[in-house]
Amino acid sequence: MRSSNQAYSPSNGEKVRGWILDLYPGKAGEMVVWIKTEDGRCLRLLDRWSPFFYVSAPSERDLTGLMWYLPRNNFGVKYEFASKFVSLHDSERSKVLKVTVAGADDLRFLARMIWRLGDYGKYWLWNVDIPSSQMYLYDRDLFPLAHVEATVTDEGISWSLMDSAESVEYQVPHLKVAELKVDVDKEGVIPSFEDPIARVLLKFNGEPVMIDSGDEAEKILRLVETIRGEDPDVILTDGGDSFLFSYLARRALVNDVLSDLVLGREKTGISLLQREGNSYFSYGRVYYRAASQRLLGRLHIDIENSGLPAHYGLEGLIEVARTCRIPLDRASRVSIGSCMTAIQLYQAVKDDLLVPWKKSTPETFKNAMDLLVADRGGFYFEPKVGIHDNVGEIDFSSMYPMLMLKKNISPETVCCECCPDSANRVPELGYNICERRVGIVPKVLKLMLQKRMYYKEMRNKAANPEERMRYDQRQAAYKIILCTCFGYLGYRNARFGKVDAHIAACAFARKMLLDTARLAERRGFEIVHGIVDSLYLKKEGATDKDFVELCREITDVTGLPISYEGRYRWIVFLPSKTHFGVPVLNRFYGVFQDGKVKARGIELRRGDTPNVIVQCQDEIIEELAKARNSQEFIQRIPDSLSVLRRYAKRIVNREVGLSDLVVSKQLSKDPGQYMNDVNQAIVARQLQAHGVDVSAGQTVRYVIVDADNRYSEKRVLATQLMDAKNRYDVKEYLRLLLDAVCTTLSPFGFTDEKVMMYVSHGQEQRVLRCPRPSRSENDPYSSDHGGGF
Amino acid sequence: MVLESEIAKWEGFVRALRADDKATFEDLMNACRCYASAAGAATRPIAMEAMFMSILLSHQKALKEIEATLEKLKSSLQSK
Repeated sequence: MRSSNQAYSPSNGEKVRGWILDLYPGKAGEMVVWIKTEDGRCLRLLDRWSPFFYVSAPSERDLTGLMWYLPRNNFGVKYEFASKFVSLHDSERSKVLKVTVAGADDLRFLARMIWRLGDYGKYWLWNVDIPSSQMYLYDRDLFPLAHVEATVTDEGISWSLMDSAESVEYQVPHLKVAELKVDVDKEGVIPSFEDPIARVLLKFNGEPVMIDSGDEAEKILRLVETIRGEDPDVILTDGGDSFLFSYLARRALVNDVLSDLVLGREKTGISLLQREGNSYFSYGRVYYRAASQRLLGRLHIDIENSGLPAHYGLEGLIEVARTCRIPLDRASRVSIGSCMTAIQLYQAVKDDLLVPWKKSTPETFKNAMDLLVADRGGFYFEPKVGIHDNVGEIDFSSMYPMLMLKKNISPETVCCECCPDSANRVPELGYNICERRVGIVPKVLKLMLQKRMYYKEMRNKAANPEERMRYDQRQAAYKIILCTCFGYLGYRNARFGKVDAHIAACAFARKMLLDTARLAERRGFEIVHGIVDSLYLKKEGATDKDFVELCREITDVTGLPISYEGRYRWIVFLPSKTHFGVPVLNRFYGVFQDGKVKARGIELRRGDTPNVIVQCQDEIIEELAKARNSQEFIQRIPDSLSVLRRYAKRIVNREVGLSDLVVSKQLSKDPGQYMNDVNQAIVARQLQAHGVDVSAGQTVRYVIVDADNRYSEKRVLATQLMDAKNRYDVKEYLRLLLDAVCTTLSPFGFTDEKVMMYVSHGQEQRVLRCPRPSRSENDPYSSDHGGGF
Repeated sequence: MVLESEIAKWEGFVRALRADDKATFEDLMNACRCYASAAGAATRPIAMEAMFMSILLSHQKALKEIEATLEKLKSSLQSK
C-alpha cells in the first residue's frame, strides 16, 4: 500500500477519478476535498469556493442602499443581485442580494451586522447557517462518496459527476478502517489526564497492532508513525470525542511531543483545548453529544458519540451521507432531524428557493374549539387485556411519510392561498391542500420511500448474509429518518415545518386507521388492539390467506401499502400496573406461528433493566412459548415459574456476576439539578466527586448495593467505582425480579403474593417477604394508561 | 392526561366516600380509562360529558352481558 498521500498533488490540467471522502474549508476562499482514487490513493484537492448568503428587503432600493453601508475590502466581499424564490408560497422570483464572503466567520459577522442595520426586521437573511462544506456540495451538485472525475484547473476544480445520489446500486471504494483504543495506566478508579498511557491498541481491518514498549513519548510517536504508515481512511474509537484524543494531546504535551501528534492527513495536530459538548432534547429524552474531534482527511467515527450509526452501521451511514448530502464525519454525529433538514435544504437550493435564517411562520389562527378538534395525535383502540388465540398483525408500511407523499402534505401546500376550492381536503378539519404544485416535503420523501422499498425488497431476496446486511443497514437508515419526517413538520425549529401540516398528517392517519378497522370488521374480524398504523385482529378459524386478502383489499381501498406481519399462536395484552384491569398501549408479548417471540413495553425491552432480570423474563416467555394455544399456556405457567425460582436462588446465593446486575440510566438533567435523590443522580454525583464530567443526556451505569440505606450516597455505586469487595443488595434485586414476573403474568391473577407462594421455600421466602417499595417519580408505570384524553 | 386531571378534580368527593364506595368509584373511573381513545375522538369541550358516555357504554355492555347470561340460564333451566 502506498502511503504519504500528501506528497502527491495533482498538477494543472490533470484528471483524477475517484470518490469524495472528506471535505472542509481551507484558507479563505478555498475548499479542501479529499478524493479516494480508483487505484486506492488518497489525494488532497483544492477548489476555489467562497461561502455566500442572500439578503432580501421590501424594495430593490433598500438593497442598493444597504450595499453602500457594507464593508467591501476587508472581508473580500462580493455583492451581486440574483433572482430567487424568497418564500415557499411564492410563485414568482424576487430580486435579492447575494453576498459572497471569504470564510464562514466573516459570513456570520456580516449577517449579524445586516440584521442589526435593518433594526432586526427590515432585511431578511437567507442561507446563513448552512455549514460551508454542505453548501459546497449543494452548490457543486456533489455528495459524499460520489464517484467523480475531477480536473484540476487554475480556477479550482472542474467536477464531472459519474454517479447519482438517487442510485441504489452504487460502488463504494474499499475503505481502510482502523480501530483505536488506548489503555490508561490509571492510579485511581477513574482514568484521568494525569495518568500515563499503558498501551495503545490498533486494529487495521481486524489485524491487531499493540504498542506497549518504550516510554510514553515513544508510544505516542509510534502511534503517529503507525497511523501514517498504514494510512487508514476511517478511524473508529469509543470515546474519541469525549476523552481519548484530548487525553492523547495532554500526554503528548507532558512528554513534549505535542507538535508530532498528527493523526489526520493534514499536518494539523490535535488541539489541547477540549470544547464543551452539548445536551439536547429529542423525542422526550435528553441526549448528550461531545464536541467532535476531527482528523482532517480521515473520517473519525466515535461509536460512543454516534447515536445513529449504531443502528445502521457504516453502510447505512454512507447511504445517509450520499442521499442527504452531509459530509460523512458530520453525518455520523448529527441528529436524525438534521439529516432530514439537509436533504430538504438541498431540494430548496436545487429549486432556487431561499432558506430562512430566522424562521417565522406562524400557525394559522385557531379558536379553542378548532384546537380541540385539530390538536390530536394518532388514533388507537385500547387492547383487550388477557390472552388471545390466532391473532394476526397488519401494519401500514411507513404510514405517515406515505400519507404525506400521497396527500401532498407540506408547509406550503396545506391551507395554500392558490387552491381554496381544492378537492384534496383534510378529514375532520376541512383544510384545503394545494393541487397545483408538489410540496417540498413530499418531493424529498419520494426518493427516500422509493429507496427504502427497494432495499427492503433486495434484503429479502439477498443471496448471502453480507448482501442481506448491506441492504438491511441501508433500509434501517431510512426507517429512522422517515420516522422523524412527520414529527419534524411540527417542530418549531424545522426550516420547512408548519403545525397545520403536522395536524393534517395526523388527521389523515386517524381516518386511515378507522377506515381500515371498518374494512376488517366487515370481513368478520374482531379488533383486539390498534395503534396508529397497525392493527391486531382475530377471527375464529382465520388463516394466513384471510389476512393477506384483507391486506390486499385495504391497499386497494386506501392506496397505502399494508403488510401482514404474521399470525400469533397466542398473544398476551397486559393491564396497567396502577389501575386494575385497565389496558395499556403497546405492552404485550406473543408467539408467532413460526415460534418467533415478539414483546413490547415489558422489562426485557427496556434499556435500563439489569441483565439478570432480562434473562429471567426472557426464559419465562421462552418456556411459555412452547404452548400452542391459550389453554396450553395456562398449563405451562407453573413450569415457567420454576425459572423464577432458579433465578431467585442465584440472586440469594450471590451467584450473579456484577455485570448482570448493572442498571443503566440516562440523565435527564445535569447532576446538580436533581431535586430528589434518585439513583442516577446519586451515581452522577459519585462520578463528579472522582473528577468525571457528567452532563444531562449521558448514561450512568450502577449497581444497587443497599437500597434502603438512610444515607442516599450508599444506596447505589457507579460501576467504575466497584471492586471485588462490593456486594449487591439481594433484597432489591429480588424485588425487581418479582416485579418483572408479575408484569408477565398479571392478566392471569398472579399477584406478588401468589408468585411468592410458588417460590415459597426456604431462604427466598424470608427475603421476598420484605415490604414493597412505594412508587417513585422514576417508576415508568406510574401513569401508564396512555391516551391523549 | 385530560382524563386524569378531571379525575383528580373529584378528589374531595372520593375523600368523603366510604371504603367500599371508593372502590366502586375507582371502577367507574377505570371504565372511563378503558374508553379514553374514543372519548378523545369525541372532542367534547367538557371532559365529563365524554366520561359519562364512557360509563354509560360500559354499563350498557355489562347489562347486555348479564342479559345474555340470564337468557342462557333460562334456556338451560327450561330444557331441564
